[in-house]
Amino acid sequence: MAEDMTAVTESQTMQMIAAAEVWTPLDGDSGIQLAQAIATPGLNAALPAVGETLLGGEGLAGQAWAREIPLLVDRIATEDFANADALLESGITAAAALPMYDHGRVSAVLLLYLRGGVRAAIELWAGRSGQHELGMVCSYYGDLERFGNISPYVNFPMGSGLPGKVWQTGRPQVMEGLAQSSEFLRSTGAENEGLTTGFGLPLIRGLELRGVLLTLDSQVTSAAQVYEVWEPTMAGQAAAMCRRQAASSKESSRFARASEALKLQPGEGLVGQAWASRRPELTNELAIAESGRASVVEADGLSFGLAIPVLIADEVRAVAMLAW
Amino acid sequence: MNKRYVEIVNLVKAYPNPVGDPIRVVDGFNLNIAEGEVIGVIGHSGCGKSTVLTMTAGLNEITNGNIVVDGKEIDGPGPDRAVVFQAPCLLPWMTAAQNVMLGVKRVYPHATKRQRKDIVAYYLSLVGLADAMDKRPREMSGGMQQRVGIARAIALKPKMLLLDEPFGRLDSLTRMDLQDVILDILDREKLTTMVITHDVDEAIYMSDRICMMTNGPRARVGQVLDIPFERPRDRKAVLAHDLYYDLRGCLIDFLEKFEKKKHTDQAEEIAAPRSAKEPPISTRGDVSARDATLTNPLTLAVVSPMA
Repeated sequence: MAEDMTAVTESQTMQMIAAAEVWTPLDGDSGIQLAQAIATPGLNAALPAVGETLLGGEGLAGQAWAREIPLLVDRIATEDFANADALLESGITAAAALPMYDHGRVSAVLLLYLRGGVRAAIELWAGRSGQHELGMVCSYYGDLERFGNISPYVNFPMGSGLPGKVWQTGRPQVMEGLAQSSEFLRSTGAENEGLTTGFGLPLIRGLELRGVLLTLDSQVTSAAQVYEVWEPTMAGQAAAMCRRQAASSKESSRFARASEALKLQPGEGLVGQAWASRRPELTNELAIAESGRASVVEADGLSFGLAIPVLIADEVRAVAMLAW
Repeated sequence: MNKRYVEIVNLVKAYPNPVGDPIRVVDGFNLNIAEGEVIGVIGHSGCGKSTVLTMTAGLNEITNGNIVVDGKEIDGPGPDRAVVFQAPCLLPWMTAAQNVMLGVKRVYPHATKRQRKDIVAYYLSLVGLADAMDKRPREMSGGMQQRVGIARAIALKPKMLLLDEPFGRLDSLTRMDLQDVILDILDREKLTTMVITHDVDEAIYMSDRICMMTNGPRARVGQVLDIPFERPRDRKAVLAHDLYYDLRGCLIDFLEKFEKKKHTDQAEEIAAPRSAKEPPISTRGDVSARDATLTNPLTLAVVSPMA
């Protein structure tokens, strides 16, 4: 993936992420509360309302918060979701709960609801006991059965493959052209399954890599239409966020192009908000959140945005932005 | 089971280069091997597979990094690490039994003559040579000679067995036969083993895990594949397994990818001389500019938090 380049992938029609929530700890760490939520139309009835709370260990988000580890379930079940039946009826079949670490504690849990029957994958990788490798912990492959068969047996050392590259850099990574990529080591599987774009997110506590979340898109389903990776830089005397990587679908290329020369201050745009709050930020009104790019947001038909900060040694070193 | 029975950490092998900086054949090779595990190592010719093996055997000096076997850092060759090379290298004037006896004398110094003879006979019978103990190498086929080489290695009761393309010179039937002989011994003796091979099918059949090396120079571990087949291995069952061709495809995919990369790298090599691209390295223990990146705080420690 070339740095500072806006690239265009094939047209995509369906998003794997159907809804997303940010849960934050209550005062006194007595539980967590739903602080922000976005959902595609028709799903709201199956999802908790903003302000609802969970105890530690309750539900998937509560488990991730209490155990302080990322979790991915490939089947929605009542032990993880009180409203499991409603979710399943709405077409949600899998979910991921990603703790965000700040100063030694979980400052938020990002919960992603994933659609069933999709041609896209989400994988959670973590260090293997006794090895210098990342191995797969759990995964959701939708219809990508064959790709899913072999992947659990593959392990990546630092720097190898997309998970190893995320580990090596400690930064989110976007990788396009998976079937042809010399860096994506499962490229034959990617070619067979029609996979196009990969996105890797490091889950870091202090200086420890606790996991790598990977999303793998195909031409028909993607996690998002736009992926961007922003990193802080010094613009004059003030710190600003500049975009380092981007990938977008053909329909959303204007949005990504508009950010090429953009510099964001803390609090500015969704990326700047995540930078300032040090927590994931969500919006279902991307044109309002991204006022600097409002015209292209509308032109590209984008409405949802998710910005995820990556903290290393408790400093925000990057923000990953997903839009769809 | 000790998952870190063998620890190879940041292993570097560099050779002097009269016209420039030393050439790092292997650079930053990391691998842990569990007790009793069989690890296959594959990669393109010249990528440094045998260099890693000979450094593990103590036959090749380590430039940087270290290798620990059963808690002891290796420092030269020793009977705790037995090696079987492609050529068995038997002493031609000695019989099969006498060749095996050479190692047995060293490892069992207090055994009686009778006991040592029994040990030699036992290990030769394990490799199917009970009736050929008094034959000299010239009276034996290549496969039989390699069996003697295997018996000689196993008789040392090593902590680790190192096999460097042990079947490379044999015809395919003999090769399959000897693969089974070795697997049978490994199942019986639970020896921690590293086997270097070019043969993808051999790697799958023999290994618990396969380490795929990137191309040299600066070769390292590129990917590690778990082989989920149970032991003892049954060739027909392995070949018929649903995952067999996916695993095979994964290995070939990796090798093909690095074959393409090799050609690209060679093209780049012509455009930019090595000295312009790589900081110098010197002797063991020095921290070069490149090594410093290994301790960069942004190179994250990886933990295995998953319960």
